[in-house]
Amino acid sequence: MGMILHTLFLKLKSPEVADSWFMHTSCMQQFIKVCLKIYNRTAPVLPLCRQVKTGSLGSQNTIHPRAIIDYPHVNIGNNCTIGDNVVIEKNSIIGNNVNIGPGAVIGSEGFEQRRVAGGILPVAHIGGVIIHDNVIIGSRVCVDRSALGEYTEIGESTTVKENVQIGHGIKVGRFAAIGEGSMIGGYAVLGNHIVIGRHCSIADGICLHDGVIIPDGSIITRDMKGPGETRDSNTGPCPEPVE
Amino acid sequence: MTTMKLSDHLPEETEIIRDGNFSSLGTLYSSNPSQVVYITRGDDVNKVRSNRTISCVITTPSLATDLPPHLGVAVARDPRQAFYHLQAALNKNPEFSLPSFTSRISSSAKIHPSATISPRNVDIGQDVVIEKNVRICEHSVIDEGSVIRSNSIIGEMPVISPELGQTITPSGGVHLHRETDIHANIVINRAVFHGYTEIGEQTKIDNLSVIGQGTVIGDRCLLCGGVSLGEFVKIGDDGWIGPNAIIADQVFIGKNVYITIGSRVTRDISDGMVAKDNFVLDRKRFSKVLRGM
Repeated sequence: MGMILHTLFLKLKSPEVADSWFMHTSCMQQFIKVCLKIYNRTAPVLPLCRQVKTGSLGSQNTIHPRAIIDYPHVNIGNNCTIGDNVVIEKNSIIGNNVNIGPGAVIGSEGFEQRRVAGGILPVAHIGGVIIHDNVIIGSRVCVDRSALGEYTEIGESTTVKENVQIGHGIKVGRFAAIGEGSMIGGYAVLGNHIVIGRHCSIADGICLHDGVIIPDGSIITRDMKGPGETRDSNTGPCPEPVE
Repeated sequence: MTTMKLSDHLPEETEIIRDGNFSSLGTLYSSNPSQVVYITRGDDVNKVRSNRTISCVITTPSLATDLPPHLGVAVARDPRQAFYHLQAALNKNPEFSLPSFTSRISSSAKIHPSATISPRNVDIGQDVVIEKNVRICEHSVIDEGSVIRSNSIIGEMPVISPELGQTITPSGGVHLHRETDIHANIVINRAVFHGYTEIGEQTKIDNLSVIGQGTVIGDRCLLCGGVSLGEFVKIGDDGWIGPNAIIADQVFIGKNVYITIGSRVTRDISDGMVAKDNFVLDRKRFSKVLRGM
């Protein structure tokens, strides 16, 4: 069910459909507005999609007393360290040996807004977050939950530094490194062994293939293919990456 | 609004060159009505001339002669110190500062127990949702239907001048209008001198953004993650500001403006434009160019 909704939602978001005259007629706008309102009210309470039904907490975890975790709907593995003021929302699955720094917010509502009939309506997010084993998450990192039954995923042994925003529905591969202050837009797909520098901005829906290296302060608005490809939006192609 | 005389409120070590009337305090970048500002550098004289809302200036003796004759002028050895003395004195004046009251929280508001809400001068409307670890400071007004998500701070004290060596008490606040959505780890600074830092109706702000003091954001704007707005920025209705964009102090942005991902905006932008970094295009032409690619 979640997959069907997700596919339908992405189809509706695509420029061919979203920019067509039909979608901007007043009748259609009112129809979308009503549908969205109904969806926003019903979806979070109905078991439409995959959700964490029962919570679990592994052994040898160090959890700060001021961390706020929705234990009935969160799975946490073994040997995890969760810092001060961390918030872990429902539908989050955290693997073994995960380290989450102070002030991080895992599984909060994503930023998906629709301009319909002269106003803005949010789209309720009913997905979750999966953080695989050996991930390090810095302080004040925000990982949003996915919109429709899918999971935002951070792959095994990935490092996410401070003040990073991981948008909704993102898939980060294994052994990736994301530098401080980087913003990654929703539905981006990041491959294995990628390196993203500090204060990079990555647009929505971008696909970065395995082994891509992005220098500090880059703005990425197109897909990057091929292992070892590097790009700096300000200064053109970068020199060969240092081994 | 109360009008006051400059000579009645300044500290004794200040000398009045020309007396004048004022009704608010501000900086060179603010546009508060009939405001007093301080200047310490020669470059600031031109800024005083271009800002029509300034009615009085506190400055050094050497700069006093360069100022336009219609302005009230006071001189002090340290104009900044004198200015903040004036602000501290006026804060005690009930006619000048915002009204003081015990915090009002609507019965239909959903507030997480870990949230911290100041016991005074906070007004929370109907159906407001305040999530985990949120901090709501004094003089914050939150209208109905707004949502504030985890770890955000509303009404944070802005860092003004740490070298001043004194605690500055802001006289303004923060006003979140109807159905605003403030996501996680956001900091909204309260206005220091006058009025409110305002977030318009149905405006949504994504994670990790910082909103400077005295900034006014219009209705139905979307601010993506990591946006940093300086002090006294004004943004019109229906704007879109991309992730990691930075907008400098006192920049005025019109309605329907689209600021692309990672832009650094230092100049004013008129209605219906697209800003890519500091380069601005008409939004309709920009769409045609994109379709042609």
